[in-house]
Amino acid sequence: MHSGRGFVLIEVLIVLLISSVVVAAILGGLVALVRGLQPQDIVVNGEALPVAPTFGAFPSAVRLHEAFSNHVSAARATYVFGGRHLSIPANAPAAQLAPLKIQALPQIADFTAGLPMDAKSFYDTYADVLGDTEAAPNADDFSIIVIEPGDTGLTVGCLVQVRRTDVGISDGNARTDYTTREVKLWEPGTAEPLRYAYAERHGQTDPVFIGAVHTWMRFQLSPAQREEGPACVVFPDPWVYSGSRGQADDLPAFSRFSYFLAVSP
Amino acid sequence: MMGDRHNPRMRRRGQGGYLVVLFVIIVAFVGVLASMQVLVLTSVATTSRAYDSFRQGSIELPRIQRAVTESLFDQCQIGAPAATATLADALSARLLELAPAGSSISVVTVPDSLPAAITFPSSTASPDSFAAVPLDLQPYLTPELYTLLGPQVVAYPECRFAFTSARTVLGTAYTFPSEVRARLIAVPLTRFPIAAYELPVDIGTTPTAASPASAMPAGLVPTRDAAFVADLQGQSGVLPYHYRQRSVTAAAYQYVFSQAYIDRVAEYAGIAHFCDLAATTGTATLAGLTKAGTIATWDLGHAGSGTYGTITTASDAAVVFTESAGYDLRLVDSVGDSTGSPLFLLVLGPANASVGALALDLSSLARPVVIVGYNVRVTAGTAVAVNGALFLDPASTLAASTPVTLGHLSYWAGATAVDAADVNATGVMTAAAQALAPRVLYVATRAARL
Repeated sequence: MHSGRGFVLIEVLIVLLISSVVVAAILGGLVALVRGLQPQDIVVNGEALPVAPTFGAFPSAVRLHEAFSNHVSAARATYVFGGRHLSIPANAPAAQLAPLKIQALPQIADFTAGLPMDAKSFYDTYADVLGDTEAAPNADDFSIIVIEPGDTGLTVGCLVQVRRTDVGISDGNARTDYTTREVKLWEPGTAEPLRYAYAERHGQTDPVFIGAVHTWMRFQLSPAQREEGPACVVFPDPWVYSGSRGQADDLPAFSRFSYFLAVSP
Repeated sequence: MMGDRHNPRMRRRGQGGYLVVLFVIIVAFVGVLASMQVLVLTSVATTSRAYDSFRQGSIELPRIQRAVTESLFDQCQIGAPAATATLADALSARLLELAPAGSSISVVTVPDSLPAAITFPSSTASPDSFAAVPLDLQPYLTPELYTLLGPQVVAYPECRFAFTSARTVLGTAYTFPSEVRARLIAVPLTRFPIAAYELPVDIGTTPTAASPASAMPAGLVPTRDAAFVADLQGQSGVLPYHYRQRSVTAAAYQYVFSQAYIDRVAEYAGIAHFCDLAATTGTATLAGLTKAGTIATWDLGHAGSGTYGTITTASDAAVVFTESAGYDLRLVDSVGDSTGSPLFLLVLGPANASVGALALDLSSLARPVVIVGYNVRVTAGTAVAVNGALFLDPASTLAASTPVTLGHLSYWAGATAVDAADVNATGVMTAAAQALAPRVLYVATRAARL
């Protein structure tokens, strides 16, 4: 018997149950609606890629860049392939060097041929190991090879590949354009590369520069007269780019995963 | 009597209670979602800060390495005055400048002594012998050093330094041990067939400096700034350090053309090999050297012995000079033995270059020779070949009927009266002669976390 002044316990429980189901259904519906409009991941070539800004790929990115920073700290030489050469003629041979195709750590057993002062000469010296270059790379693509001290001589410490691909996802009559970003790092002793990959809505990060920019201390057509300066390389960030939050005095948005890599550290 | 549930007032109260419960449930759901979002954001913020701290630490290592490199440069540079501070003190002072607020870097291990680089001329020991670049030196080499070193070097034993840096990361104190290993590497300045050098305190250049005829790598231009090295040390970035090793090369040339170097060679050669071309008495008489008025002819095939008064000695070095203009020194070789013992000649014109230079006329010299000329006007006839090296100071000039064949030529990049096209640098540079040539001492380091 109830008092006649309120709910009995069973009524409260029923109310809680029904209310929870209703509220959960409403919130779930809202979340599904939001996700439908702005999906959390898309499937590209059978792989589900999280859509930026995503925390899902961020830990992987940090792990990769921790490893890369360690390699750069120990580097004897760092060569960047691909990217922009803004300070030399666009048709100069060094500007035509595209990112490497290779998808494994190159094994250079003998460094007696030396370490040249620019990436193009390095590629020419060890082309038989480095393989082909990309035929039609994106402007954001680049490759990095870090040379480090080995047990007896020098060794290739790591290979990094950074790629951008533009894809369109169709859903019925609707089509949404995405940009996928992928970063892979191979280092000795590991079979699988460190990797992070994600998608971003097309144009989402247009204000952020991603890619490589080369500088030159001296450029001549003759390899003996060429000397490359540090290259500024900017990796994609799957989370939030630092900088601009819409305030007038903000910095332009930039990636925390940026490096200034000297050929001859 | 009707129950309270049929009382409209009580029914409204029951409906109000239901709405309150519903509101509480919605708030609870939203609260959970918001909490999860805050949790994610906090995790990202923590990860970001941890990563930024890690990056700061990873930048610290190359800076420690740089401090070691600079300290070794200070302690070991050939011809530089002896450092007043001990290596440990000098290193600690540099590290103090490096450590940012909230962190400290301590020196744990410093080598008791550094390898002594013996160079020519030395009255106590033979100069260290050159050899091919050893494999165990490779891990120390950067592209710049690879270019500067060449095939023959003196690689001194490794020196090890250990450090501990203390830093607070996300409110927790950490210590990071690290080590820097260093090698001193001596390289003959004859490493490049033709070197158009720059001097740290000189200004000016000519197209010759950038000509492909010069085999010296580019990049010495910034060393014209007298404060270049000091400025480098004050910078934390990578870019200004790009030319550091080459500034050492420039400093080596500055030493070769300094009074300190002249004094060192004169002391080594001794009074019996210190010859004033203008004097007929009270100066050394060199074997093979004859004087006729202002013209002196020296047959290097017979050179080696010298006499001053009752003192007669043999030496592989001699200083020949004049304080007045108008004198002519002609070098010939009547013996023509390319396997003969090498000679080191310091040839000095008037100290005041404005009064004129000492004429130095070259004939073909088979005997290996290293000639360092100060304010000399070098001339050569047709098809002259010299087995050895010619180092010219900024005041010297060179003119030849046809290109002179030399093992090596060094000249100031700003010189207008020396044209690398006058030299065919395919001549012989024997190992014995190379051992007498001036050297530059590079410092190669590598660092690692422990």
